Amino acid sequence: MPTTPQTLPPTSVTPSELGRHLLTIRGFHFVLGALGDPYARLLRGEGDDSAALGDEIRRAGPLFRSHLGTCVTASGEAAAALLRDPRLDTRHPGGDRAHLGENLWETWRTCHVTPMDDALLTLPLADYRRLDRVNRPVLGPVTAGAWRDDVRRAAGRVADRAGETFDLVADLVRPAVAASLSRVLGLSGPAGPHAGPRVSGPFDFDAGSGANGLRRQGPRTETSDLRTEGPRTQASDLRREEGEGVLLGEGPGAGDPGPAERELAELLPRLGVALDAVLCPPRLPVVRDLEEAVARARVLVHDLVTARAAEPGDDAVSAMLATGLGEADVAAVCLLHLVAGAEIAAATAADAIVALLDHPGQWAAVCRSPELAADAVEETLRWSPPVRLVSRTAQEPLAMHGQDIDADAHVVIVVDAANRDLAGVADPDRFDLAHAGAPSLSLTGGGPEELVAPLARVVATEIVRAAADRWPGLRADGAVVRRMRSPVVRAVVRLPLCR
Amino acid sequence: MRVLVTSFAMDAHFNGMVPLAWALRTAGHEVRVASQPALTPSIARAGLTAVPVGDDHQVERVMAAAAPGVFALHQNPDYLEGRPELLDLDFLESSTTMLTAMFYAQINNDTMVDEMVAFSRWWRPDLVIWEPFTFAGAVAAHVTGAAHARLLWGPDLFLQVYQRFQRLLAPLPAELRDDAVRDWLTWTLGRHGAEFSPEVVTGHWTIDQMPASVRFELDQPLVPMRYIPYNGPLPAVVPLWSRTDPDRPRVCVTGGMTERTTGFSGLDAVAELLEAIAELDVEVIATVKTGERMRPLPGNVRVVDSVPLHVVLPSCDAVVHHGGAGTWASAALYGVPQLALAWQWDDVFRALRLEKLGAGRYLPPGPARQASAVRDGLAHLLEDSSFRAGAAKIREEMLDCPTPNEVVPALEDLTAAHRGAPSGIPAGTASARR
Repeated sequence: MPTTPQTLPPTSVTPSELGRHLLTIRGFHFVLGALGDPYARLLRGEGDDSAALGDEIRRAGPLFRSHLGTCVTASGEAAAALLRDPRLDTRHPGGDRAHLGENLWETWRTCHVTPMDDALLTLPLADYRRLDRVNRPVLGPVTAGAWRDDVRRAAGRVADRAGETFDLVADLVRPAVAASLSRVLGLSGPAGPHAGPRVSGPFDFDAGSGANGLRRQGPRTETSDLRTEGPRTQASDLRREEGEGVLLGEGPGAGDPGPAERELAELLPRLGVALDAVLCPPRLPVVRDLEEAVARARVLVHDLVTARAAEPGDDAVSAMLATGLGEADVAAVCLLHLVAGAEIAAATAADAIVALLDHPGQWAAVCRSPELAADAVEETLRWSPPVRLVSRTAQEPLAMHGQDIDADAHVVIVVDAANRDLAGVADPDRFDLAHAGAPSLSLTGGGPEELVAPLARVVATEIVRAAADRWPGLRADGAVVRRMRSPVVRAVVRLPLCR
Repeated sequence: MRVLVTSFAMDAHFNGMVPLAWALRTAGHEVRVASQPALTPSIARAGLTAVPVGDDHQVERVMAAAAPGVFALHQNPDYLEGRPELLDLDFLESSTTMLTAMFYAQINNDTMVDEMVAFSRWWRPDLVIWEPFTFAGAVAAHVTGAAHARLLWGPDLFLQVYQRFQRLLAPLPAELRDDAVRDWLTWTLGRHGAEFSPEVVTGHWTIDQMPASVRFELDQPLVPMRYIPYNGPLPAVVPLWSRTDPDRPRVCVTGGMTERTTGFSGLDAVAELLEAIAELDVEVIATVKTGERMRPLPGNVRVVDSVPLHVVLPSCDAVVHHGGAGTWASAALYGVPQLALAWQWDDVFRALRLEKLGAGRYLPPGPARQASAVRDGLAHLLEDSSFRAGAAKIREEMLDCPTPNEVVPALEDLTAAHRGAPSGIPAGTASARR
């Protein structure tokens, strides 16, 4: 059962056609935003108070119909129901999720904005369930905690390098996420047999189906085996030819990041825009860069899994391979941790620290009792989720609160607004560590974000803890800058700090 | 010189280019006019040489869906009234994104741009003169190394606002600069192997047909030029009734060219409006679409399908119009006081300038535009001779500008100064496919 029937035919799309597609959808968001459509305003990704827009959508009823054609919910009850409704999935009925060649003036389809098949963000939900059989025994809700000590050391080493003044994202969060994932996934583990030129065959990790996911496709003399087609992987091929490609086995020294960690630190922010790009068109150069980064990540993951299959180490990839469920699925899970998990961990850690510094009493409490870092992360997930908008398509007609959702309709759950509408939370609009244990819909729904959530929680918690352990006097030394066109993640890109 | 003149296919935007095209022609230069095929008949009727390029644009269809949001944003009074220093980044980013997506990239469709570049590579123009939204001309010039200039039909609100946008973007880190027009031009130029340059938005210089008191100082090389009325593709014929002086004040009521060809109009409830105006002791010449259902009108109202404005305006004491560029400029040139019922874009700015300069009145949308209010406004215009004096001053300013004939030598010099090496990679070596 191939999970990805065919990737898009990218060779048929020129940069101009892709650019025009993205520009047109961006235009729709601004035009309808100017007419007051709160969902369109939300998708613009800047210039508005997203919490106020969430309130506005909720006031319009449990199911708000945007002029974009999307059914949007910001109601806690409706969101909870939709997130577990099996009649919703990631693709259109029949599997379509490619709208690049369409005349948007006829179809008005503004879902699946950027092709995201290579990043594995538009797999059917059943595939994430299958992949979780590989993930769960090693990086699942119960098991992810086993990596906590490793992550704590990795994040701690990064924090120890920080100067008197440093940037929250560039100097702490991004490198700590890279160091943590590098350690957990074994990117800095023992060298594999591929350290020289390889002749092993590639596997198609989009089409993994259990133990036989490894597909030999004949001898391989190039490193670009995982590319789908076209010159999208050329840049990464070039870099590899220049000698940057072989990273495994060059483990870090005592303090400084090794080359694998440095590459990951460079790659992860570029991959991070993928979560936003599903709903909000990025600028054309950003999409091109994302495509290149995804191609690079696929090569990295392929090399990693191949290496660990040959020579297991004390890392999560080796442990997942030991489940016997197939290299292709292990590679897919790794890719999801790089594409979605890293961004979720980084956004959560950054937003947690931003929120705590905005509430000095709560920051002081975490500094006194660093184990409260876990509560801070949970409250951040509830109050300022790293995935604010979950995009689904109705596979069949359904009714909700007396309103019909047609088959093929686009449905979006506004998670942050829904979280603030759930019963049993006192003063839900306030960030408060005392909310520990409050209900939250963040990182649920069976998509990629749920799969990567347990490890992302561990990583985010340890970054917050590393900061709280070291810097009780930490304070902001400037304004928070968020990434543009980032309505899903609202990613922090900059905050100067003084410790 | 070889001079390529270009406007996207819309008569109102092309008409203002015809006199200069002819001036270049009679000065001995080779002139071609490139546009989508839909403009070919209009180019031919102007006696010029057409180069149809690409497919027709679909902007009317796009704007039918997008116009409400586009207009909602641009009703911002600081925009309409020319106070760019009050516009914030959110407005500027919204405006630029919307107009690029719904207008610039629509009227400069890819096939039109690509065929204009291909034609320019073959014909090698020395100078490209482009209507200020027809960026295809700038792209073709930039790729082939031609000098290029914008020819304005109205006050340069676009560049004024774009410069403000650039000033607000400049201090931002690069990853937070969101300039849709630049992004669109970047990949459009990239298709032809060239890189973005700010001149592709501004032109090497600008030819401005507005009188000095309606012009912006924008720190850009400027060639002032006198506006010469051109009637457009409709036949310019002097009607019998217009060959004698009227025995009462004559008032022209017109919705301009664009009202005839598109759905945009500032004149609502025309019959009611004409009846109210006819209560004054005036002769009314109304150019409205024939076939429009009209109830019987008072005897002092003459409805004509069309009449050349340069024929009728010199005999008029006032004009009531929708605010459009060509009508405004024609009335200004003949020193006729104007009652402008403008509601969008530069129309409002120009109408407000009339008020400031004492040459006319601006009636904003709403109660001020009821038929009786228009009648009273018109009566004021006719009674107070200061409007005539204000209008005469604008006329003087326009007559002070060099005619298109007199501008040609300056264009020759500027072309020699700006003409450069082609920056695009010749077709065939640049790969647009990925």
